[in-house]
Amino acid sequence: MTEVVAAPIELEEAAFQAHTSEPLIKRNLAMLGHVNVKLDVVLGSAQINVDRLFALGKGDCIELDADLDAPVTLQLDGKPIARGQLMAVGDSFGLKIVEIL
Amino acid sequence: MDEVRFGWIGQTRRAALEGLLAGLLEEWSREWWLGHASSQFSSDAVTELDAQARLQGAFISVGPHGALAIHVGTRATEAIGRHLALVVSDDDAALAASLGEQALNDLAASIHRRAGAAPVGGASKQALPASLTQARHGAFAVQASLGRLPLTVLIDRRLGERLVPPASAAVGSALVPRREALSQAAVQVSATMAFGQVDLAQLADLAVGEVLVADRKLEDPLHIHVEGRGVVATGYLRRSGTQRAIVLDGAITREHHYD
Repeated sequence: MTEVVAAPIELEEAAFQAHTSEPLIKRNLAMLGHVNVKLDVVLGSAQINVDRLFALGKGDCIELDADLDAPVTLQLDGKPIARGQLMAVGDSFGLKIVEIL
Repeated sequence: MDEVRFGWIGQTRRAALEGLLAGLLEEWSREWWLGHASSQFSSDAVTELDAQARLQGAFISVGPHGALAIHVGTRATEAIGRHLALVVSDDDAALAASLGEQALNDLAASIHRRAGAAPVGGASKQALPASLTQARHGAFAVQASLGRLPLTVLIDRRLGERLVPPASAAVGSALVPRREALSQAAVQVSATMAFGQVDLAQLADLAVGEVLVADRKLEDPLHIHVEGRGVVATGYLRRSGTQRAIVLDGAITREHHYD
């Protein structure tokens, strides 16, 4: 039977070197096509004072600054990427895109 | 270096300064037995020309709250001393001058004390700085006649502000508790919906007219944020007339925090 010696791994210090060569990974978003991202929809906002904020209770209504038919904003990582009309798709929310870059 | 402040002192405060300095001068002359039955006070904002022409050899006294100068004419320091000590011969001129300087030092000290601090050292004859001679720097002068003795007191803007503070600084605003002050401050609350997840390939192909279906059901609660940070409550999308509205459902605690 062969005897194996177990010992802690000693890693070489990673010396920082300013890279002068080209990036190893080309900027090709297609390779990230399978990556899932979370989207948020901003429905509107309202200005209220601190007293009212802390007096709000269940069932209280906050009127937003957006008309019913105003487009909502689709956000990716907090950044607006599109606008659309909110709609019902079956029993789910849907967003019909009206503006996107 | 002393801070130089610019600007005229307003008429209301000039009148108050004149009254205050006149009162201090009267009190001082009474204490030093100068006799001033015919005293008349007049005041004027100093101009550079006036100061240079009339006030060579003034005694300057500096305190923590500003500087002042007292001018009593070319020989009058000695004249004050002669009057106080009943000295009539030239042999005692040094004594008379010393007494006169003590009296002026006392006047300077009384003005500084009124401003809230004692002077730093005694008054001394020096060249007058701009802060005491130029009205555009806020210099202010009171001229008085104490019997036959002419006397001019100049103060700089810093000292003037200590003697007659601006109304707002003198009274100060009543403080209110922070909690009370905050109660009417406006905050922005926004309503967002976590729409769901899509892969980047699907997002890249998204175009106008297409419909993105959310992971969220129509009756799922929405999130209420304050100033764009953190979810503080949940609610449901409703209408209020022609506006969108949120009806609150519950609060979000730290233990139950949505991203």
